[in-house]
Amino acid sequence: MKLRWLFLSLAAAGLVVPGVTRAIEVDFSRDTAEGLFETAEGTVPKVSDGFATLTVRAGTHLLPVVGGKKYKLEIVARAEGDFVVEENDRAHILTLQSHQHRLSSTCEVVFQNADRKEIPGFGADIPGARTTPRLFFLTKQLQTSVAVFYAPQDATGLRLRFRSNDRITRIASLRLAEETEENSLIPNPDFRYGELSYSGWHPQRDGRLYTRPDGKTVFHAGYGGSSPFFPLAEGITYEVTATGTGEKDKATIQIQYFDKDGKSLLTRFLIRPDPKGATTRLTPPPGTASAWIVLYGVILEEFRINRVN
Amino acid sequence: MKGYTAALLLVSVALGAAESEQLPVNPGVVYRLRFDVEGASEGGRWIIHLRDSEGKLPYDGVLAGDWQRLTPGRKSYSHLFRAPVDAAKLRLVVSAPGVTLGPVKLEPQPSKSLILNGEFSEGSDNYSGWSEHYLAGVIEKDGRTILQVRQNGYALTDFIPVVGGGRYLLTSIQGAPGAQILAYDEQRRFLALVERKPGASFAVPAEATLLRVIYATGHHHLESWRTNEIVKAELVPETTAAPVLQGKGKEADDWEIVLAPGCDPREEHAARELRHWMTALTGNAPALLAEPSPRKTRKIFLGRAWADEFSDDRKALEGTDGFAVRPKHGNLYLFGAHPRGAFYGVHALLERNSDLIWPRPNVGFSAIFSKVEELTLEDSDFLSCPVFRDRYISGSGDLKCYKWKGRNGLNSPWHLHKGNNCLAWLNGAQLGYSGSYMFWLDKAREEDEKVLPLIDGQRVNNVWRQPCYTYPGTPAAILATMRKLLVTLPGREMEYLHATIADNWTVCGCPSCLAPIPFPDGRSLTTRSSDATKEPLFFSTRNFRMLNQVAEGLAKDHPGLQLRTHAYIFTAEPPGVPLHPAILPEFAAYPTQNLRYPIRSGKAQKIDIYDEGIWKRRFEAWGKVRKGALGSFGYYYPNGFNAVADTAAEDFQALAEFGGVQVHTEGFPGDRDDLSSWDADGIEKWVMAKLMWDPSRDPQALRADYIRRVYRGAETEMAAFYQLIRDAWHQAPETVFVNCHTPASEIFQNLIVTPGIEEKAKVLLADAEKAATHPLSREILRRHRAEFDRLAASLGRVMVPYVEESSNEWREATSPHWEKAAIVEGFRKVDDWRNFAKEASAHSTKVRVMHDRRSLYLRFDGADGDLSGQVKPSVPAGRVFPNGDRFEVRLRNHKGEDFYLAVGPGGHAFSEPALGGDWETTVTAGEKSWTALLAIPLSAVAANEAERTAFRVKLGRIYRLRGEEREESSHDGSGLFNDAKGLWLDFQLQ
Repeated sequence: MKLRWLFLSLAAAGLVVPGVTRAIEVDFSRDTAEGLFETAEGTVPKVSDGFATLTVRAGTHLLPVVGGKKYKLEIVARAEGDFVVEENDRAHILTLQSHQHRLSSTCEVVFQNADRKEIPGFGADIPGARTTPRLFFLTKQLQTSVAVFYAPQDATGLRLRFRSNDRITRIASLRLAEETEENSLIPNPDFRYGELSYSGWHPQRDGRLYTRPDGKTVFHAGYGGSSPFFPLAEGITYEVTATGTGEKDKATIQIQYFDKDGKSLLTRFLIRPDPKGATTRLTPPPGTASAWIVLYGVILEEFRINRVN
Repeated sequence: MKGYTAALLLVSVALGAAESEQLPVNPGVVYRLRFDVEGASEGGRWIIHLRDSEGKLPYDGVLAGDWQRLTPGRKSYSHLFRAPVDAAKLRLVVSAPGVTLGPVKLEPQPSKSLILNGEFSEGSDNYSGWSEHYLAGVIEKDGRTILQVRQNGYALTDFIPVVGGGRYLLTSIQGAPGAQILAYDEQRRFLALVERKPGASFAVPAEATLLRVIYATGHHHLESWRTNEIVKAELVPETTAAPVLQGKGKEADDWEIVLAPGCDPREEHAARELRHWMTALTGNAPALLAEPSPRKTRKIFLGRAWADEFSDDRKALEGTDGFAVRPKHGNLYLFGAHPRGAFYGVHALLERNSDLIWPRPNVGFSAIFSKVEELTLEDSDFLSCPVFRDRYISGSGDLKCYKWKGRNGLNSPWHLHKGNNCLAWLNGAQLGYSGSYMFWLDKAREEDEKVLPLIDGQRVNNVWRQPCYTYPGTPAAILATMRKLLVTLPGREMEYLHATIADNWTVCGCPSCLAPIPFPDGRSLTTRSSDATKEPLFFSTRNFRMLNQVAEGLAKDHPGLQLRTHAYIFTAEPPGVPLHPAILPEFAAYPTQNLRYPIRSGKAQKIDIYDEGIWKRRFEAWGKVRKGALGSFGYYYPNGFNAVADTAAEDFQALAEFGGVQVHTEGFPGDRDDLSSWDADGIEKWVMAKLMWDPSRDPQALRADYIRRVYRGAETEMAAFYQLIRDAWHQAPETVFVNCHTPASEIFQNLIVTPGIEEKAKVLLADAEKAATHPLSREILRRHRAEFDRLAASLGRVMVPYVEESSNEWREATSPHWEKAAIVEGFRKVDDWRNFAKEASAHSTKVRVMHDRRSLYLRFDGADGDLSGQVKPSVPAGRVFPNGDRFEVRLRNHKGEDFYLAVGPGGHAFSEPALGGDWETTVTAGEKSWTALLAIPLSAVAANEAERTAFRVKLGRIYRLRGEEREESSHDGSGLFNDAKGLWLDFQLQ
């Protein structure tokens, strides 16, 4: 246990071999809070009975990441009180529509570069775009909240910043590792992490994730909902699959390409989703470094984009 | 009935014609005329004259079909026909030099089927029963004689007498698209298409006395629809009552209309329209004759055939579809250089000499007029040429709209890819082909992928894309399709070809299309990307360079034909290259032009890619580069009451100054029983139609004319009403933006509610309906009022009544004071993981609302067929979120502060932010419903008394909580937390 924290400190000091990241795992049934949380970032939560109880403000040590890589953050936690989805099914939409989800307790991912300066998350510099990966805790069940995201190119580390926002939230464990199972450039392509884990998918108006009675979670985008940003490279051909439904003759998915500075290059119609999966291919225009999709009138089951061999 | 044989007769060798004796006939009887000729030469014809008992020769008594031609070497001929109404005497006229007419035999020919020669047993050169046809022929195929209608052709049966209201059965064996039945009155004026199901009997309209069956072809992209082959056509009555050929009513003794046989069908149509309206106005029907009668009636000679003496007028009209009406020797001559001219001239003559108006397409009030004792037609010495050669209004394609357009001087096109539409053509439609480049590429899209655009690395074959602009095969393929289609209308005018971009900005991104465009002077045009929104000049130039190649090829074979196209989105920017003279760009100032101001005012809405002056600059630039060869694509159809014709007048005049030849607006919908924009701005539409003929006319004067003719008895009120609307239109701040997409509710808010004219306007409409004296005026006014109320309701305003007793009575759901409350109902389903398209809720909810100046009281009644299935928290009632079945309210005050309240059937109630103990709720259950009553202190949701008069509100309901039975509903189907503008109710506390 202590060795693990020694490794973390070494990593924070930049002594990890570049390009190599190891999973960071914390389990409060055996680990202390001090190993994870940094006093300069707030109040270190107390640990008891295998849970760290969030304080008003708490933040972790700097955790090493490699810029450009895709990561998955999993936090097993439960919330207490009556502002949980089991007691209040409006808690979900109210949280989504609150500024930075502050009607519930939250965890934000904040990146730093090699100069130890805080930098924005992966994505473009456009109004309304949310590049900070964020989780919120809205269930009294002990559940895993997941955020999948890309570390920006010049990121060397990240901190997790927790806010209790006057809610009682108890964290059981936490894991940060490279994401290798989704098989898609776009984070959370099929909403497998449930209706409370958005991973950068951002609905508009009254859109949100819904878990259907058959257990499948779908993304009701609302008018102009968007995906997280994902990396694309010019000149490479990608295959896109969009599975879903929507308003008859109105459901559309557009793609917007950005250059390495986050400046918009082009927006165009991409595809209409189909319940059986509609496919198309694309080759991004010159200068492309990233993209996102914007959805109108779509209830999305899955969106995959992968490089064609 | 007796047959007759006329012995050898009159041979008029000197005149090149031979005539039989006169033979008696009876109206409505089917006859077979047999005759022999000797010495027929090429070009010889036979014509049948059927005169009435007074010796007049009705136009319908001349049977002179194009098929009635003599064949050199052939001796015997046969002609089957039905004698028209009033027929008394028949004479056969054979016009051919040197011909000798042999025995002529006329015999009644009973026919089981009302359609003559319905199985084409008369042979392949005999069109008895099918006199009117185009691109159709009786042929031998597979051992049978059939009628084959070729692409863009049609064939009509002769007129068939029927009993109005009777039932008939058509047995027809033919290809797609089947047969249609046309109904006519006794003047042979077209009434309507008859609705029927193939194979089933159908009812004839009550006012019809004649039918025809028409066969045509259909959409040309379906190969089997390009030819229609008719094997058999049989029409029989279901009842045994024989049709009585209707008499014509009282014949006018002051006028007769003279129309030369063999004239263009559009001139015939014009003559029948003239006859119909003269009959309608006076109750007396002028005769429609093939030659002037010796009676002392005044003649209206209609058509070009009678205009030889008016050479100056004919010269002035040349190249236009204008018209002249001239008096001579007490008679009138009405003609145009083009057949449409007569049609427009008829309507102008009637308008000038009566109070007749054709205000709207709706059949119920397509014409309004007063009957007169006599029609003197004093105003009958004028000539009028339209300023614009092409006067288009697009929108609904139904025949009623074409009739309205034609009556008001328009020649809006009918696109032939759907097959020919002779009814639209008769009413003034130009014929041609129109489509995007992808349409014109036709099979090349499948056969040569290089014509397709390269988009993000892929060649995309999609009808919504532009082609590859630089591949040489693209203009070649477009031209090949054009050449193929140009020959599909032989003998008739193909008045336009239209080829244009698909309605979006995506363009080909291949290296060739993105390469610099060199100019002869050494300059070049470059682009930084394939984003046409950022590079309109570059891609407009690409587009027109390609189109220039098409135009050049087209001009070689068809030097007079113009190639029309849109100057729209990126092609709205005039290109960097000169256009081929054959190209007619139709400039579209879209979408940021504010319809309240003319284009040249420079008052467009500023967005990221357009500044305020862009449309002015582009319009004027096009005016300079395409002087005399410019068109427009307009969007003069704002939603609601407006004065857009003022803007259209200035824009049309500017276009005319540039020498524009084509003017247009889209967006005029069908005019049916349900309310439409016709019920808000029908006056503007009519004014714009008139301005398309002559944009120098004063829109206010035109409105005054419309008001006088349409709102009889209510002229004062309606003049005041439209003045209110016009003043609001012009006086609203510049920031009030209106285009064709502006929601009707927003226009109503900005132009009627905000200026404070709503109540006055409403009262004027009500007073107008009371004052109107003509029943059609009253009907139109009733619809105006209904549309006004509908638009007012679209604001989501709820007038919440002040009910003093509510303070003490609100807790009682059965209190009669709840009947004074305003009601909101008609809840619709809200999407969740399912899309419901706002269908009606399966569990109805009704909300009542009232206030006493201290509290707002709401009563929710929700139907629930299974109260035992309700989902409720397991804790006792109290201030607990009702996580299950519930009613919900979101309320937003003046400051934008939001309040969310929810009440469940278990007595659980929740608010966010917490309103404390001041708000109260009560719930009760009925048999199959439950009720929640809420009292919300106004002080808890609005700090100042002055702010407690209006709130934005959303109302919702959750039925059950989870699973497939879950249903969320709201007052308009939008989610309770969907904050988009226009989705809130506007509670106005009275």
